[in-house]
Amino acid sequence: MSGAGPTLLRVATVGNPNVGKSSLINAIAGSDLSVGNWPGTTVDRLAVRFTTAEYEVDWVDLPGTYSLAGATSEEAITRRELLTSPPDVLVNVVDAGNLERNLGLTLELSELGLPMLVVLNLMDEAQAHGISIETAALQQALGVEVIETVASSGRGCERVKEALQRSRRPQRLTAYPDFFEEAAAQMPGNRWQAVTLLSEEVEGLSPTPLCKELRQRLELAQDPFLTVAEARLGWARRITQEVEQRQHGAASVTEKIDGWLLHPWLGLPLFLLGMLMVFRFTYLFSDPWIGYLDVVKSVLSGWLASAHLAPLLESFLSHGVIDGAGTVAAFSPVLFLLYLALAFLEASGLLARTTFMFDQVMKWVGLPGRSLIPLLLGFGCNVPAIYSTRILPNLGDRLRVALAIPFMACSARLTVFVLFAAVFFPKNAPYVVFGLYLLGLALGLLTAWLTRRLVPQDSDQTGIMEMPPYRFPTWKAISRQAWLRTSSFLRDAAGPILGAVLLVWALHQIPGGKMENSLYARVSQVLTVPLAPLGITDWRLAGALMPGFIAKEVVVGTLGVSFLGEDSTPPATLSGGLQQLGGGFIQASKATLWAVPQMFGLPSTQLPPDESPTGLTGALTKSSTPAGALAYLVFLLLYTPCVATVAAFNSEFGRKWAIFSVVWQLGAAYLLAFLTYRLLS
Amino acid sequence: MTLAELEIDHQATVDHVTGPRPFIRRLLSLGVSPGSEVRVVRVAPLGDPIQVEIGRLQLAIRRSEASQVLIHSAS
Repeated sequence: MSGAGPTLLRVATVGNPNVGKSSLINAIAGSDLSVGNWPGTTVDRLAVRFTTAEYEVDWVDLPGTYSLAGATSEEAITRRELLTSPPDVLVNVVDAGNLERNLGLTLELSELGLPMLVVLNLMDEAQAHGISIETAALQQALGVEVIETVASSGRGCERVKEALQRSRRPQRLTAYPDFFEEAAAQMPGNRWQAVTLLSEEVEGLSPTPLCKELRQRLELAQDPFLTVAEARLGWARRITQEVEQRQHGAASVTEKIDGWLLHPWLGLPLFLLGMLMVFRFTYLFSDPWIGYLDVVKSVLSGWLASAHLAPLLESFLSHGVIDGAGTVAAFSPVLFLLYLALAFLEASGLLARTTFMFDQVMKWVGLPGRSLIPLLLGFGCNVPAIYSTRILPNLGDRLRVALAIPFMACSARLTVFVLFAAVFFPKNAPYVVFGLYLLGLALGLLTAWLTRRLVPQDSDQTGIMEMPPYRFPTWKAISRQAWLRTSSFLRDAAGPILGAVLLVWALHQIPGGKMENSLYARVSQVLTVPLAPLGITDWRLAGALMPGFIAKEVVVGTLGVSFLGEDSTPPATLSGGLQQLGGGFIQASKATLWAVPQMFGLPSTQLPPDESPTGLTGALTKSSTPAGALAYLVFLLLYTPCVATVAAFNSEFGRKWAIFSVVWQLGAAYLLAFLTYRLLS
Repeated sequence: MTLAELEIDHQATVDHVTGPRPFIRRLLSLGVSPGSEVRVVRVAPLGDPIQVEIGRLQLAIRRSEASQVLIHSAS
């Protein structure tokens, strides 16, 4: 090696799903790859670069796979990478507790003829299960260096780094029956290519005429695919029997937990209780901070008011910029907490149990069981729900679940429901609100069912799923993931939300003067024409649907301004404002602490108190009939939830589907609101 | 008999796996091949899928697919 700086060393990790490949790289390189305890966290090729004393390392994390030859996208990505740009070192990560099964891939990889290291990861779990492995014997059997690690705690990771440079080509390969070996010897390319081409059709590899002929001859004896699989699995079994010792210990923690969570009668109530806890956790811990954001907004506006700017400029800064930024920021506490809960579900292994429990229910609408999770998250906030469809391996399923999600009544819609229910249906308010939730759920499931033929399905989809052992995720891992997802939302959605708030502000200001003469009022009046068949005739109600497109959180506020007029912000002094900010912060912190015991309290069946401006209730009563009000709520439930959801949809599924979902929601909203109004009046 | 018919807590040995190639491949890759020992751990609360233990691995498999795995009971 010359002294001209570090040499480039290209490394690739390959292994079965959920064996800790990403954790291993993170431990070695100090990087940030997403880690989850469900198979398929890494669905694409991810790369990390770092420098050691001798090398500049370019480390590629390949998606978890059981084989290199199959048709799934994980297998295709891995195969393409290893064949088109073979790494200098292949690091095969193996679950020490599942040696026999993992060795199937190891033996396949050996045939590529690349320098290789085998990393026996999850040693702690294996030991806890009474499994011990003679590493030296395994090393002998495979003919490559084997290193024991516990990637989650970093144990052994230094040794992996050191071993990279002395890695070598595997010395021992699987022996196939003689008639197969004879055919393989006539094939060009490396051993893996020869064996694979003889045994099956693989995308990206085209068999030569010679190969086709050899394969046909092999098929006379037995399906060569089975010949290869049996030889590899048999060899893997013999190696395992040689190097592994098992003591039968007590029932594992995972078995005990599953005994409760998957219990025939207790399982479902426990699941519902768990979901309820997720929402209570989200609500109780986010509410104080959303309130605090209001304090920050009013202090900033107060300072502006005391600066004696031109009225139009003050209004622009206060009602445009500050309110817009406030709307964006108000999303983040809920999002962060929901993402935290989701990351916990993913990393702990609970998600796989949900699939197991609800597979049967979701089969009715033609979806896998785990699609229940995104749907339920939708009741908290649609935005993380849309992103969380990534837990579904199949793109068609993801899209259909995402089309259903906007119909789940998120917590922001509840504020409007509560206000209207209290004004128009004081006696039946809880039933009205509950009925709306059910309507949304029904329409969502209907959407998923209707679209089952519309979107592409993976051909080789099976219902077989691994149920990983429970693992308690570290706070660092899940908080980092929750933060990454929240901040990426803020980046994606801040622009659209702010733009939409400014647009509505501008509509209010043109041409100036009284609100009734503004462009906003005129556009609202135009809107009442198509909305009249739904019983929505008051322009102020119709108009509030426009800011409602930005975020449902602002609907009540807009109604307040339209019916009661703008309150002018009282000017605030610098010290007074600072005092308010400090006091509000202490109050929010206290409320957060108080939320801890409340988490475990009994849930209240009462609706949350209505916090709309005083006077609004009276004004609303005169604005509509009860039938019209219910139609309004149905419309509000079903039409586009918010611009952030559309942005999420757009970034996940592209413009075409984002437009489709908006149109579908508008159509459904219009039709059902119309039916509601007709049936009731 | 087939895996779908195996009762809870009973052990059996796999004889043969039928069905489309991707399905067989998936089972092979999970270690379900002729000769491997399987045990039904539990049935999902709603009756389907079933949880099967193979080695140290826990698998969820739908009844319709389990019926493509032919087995003979150990006892």
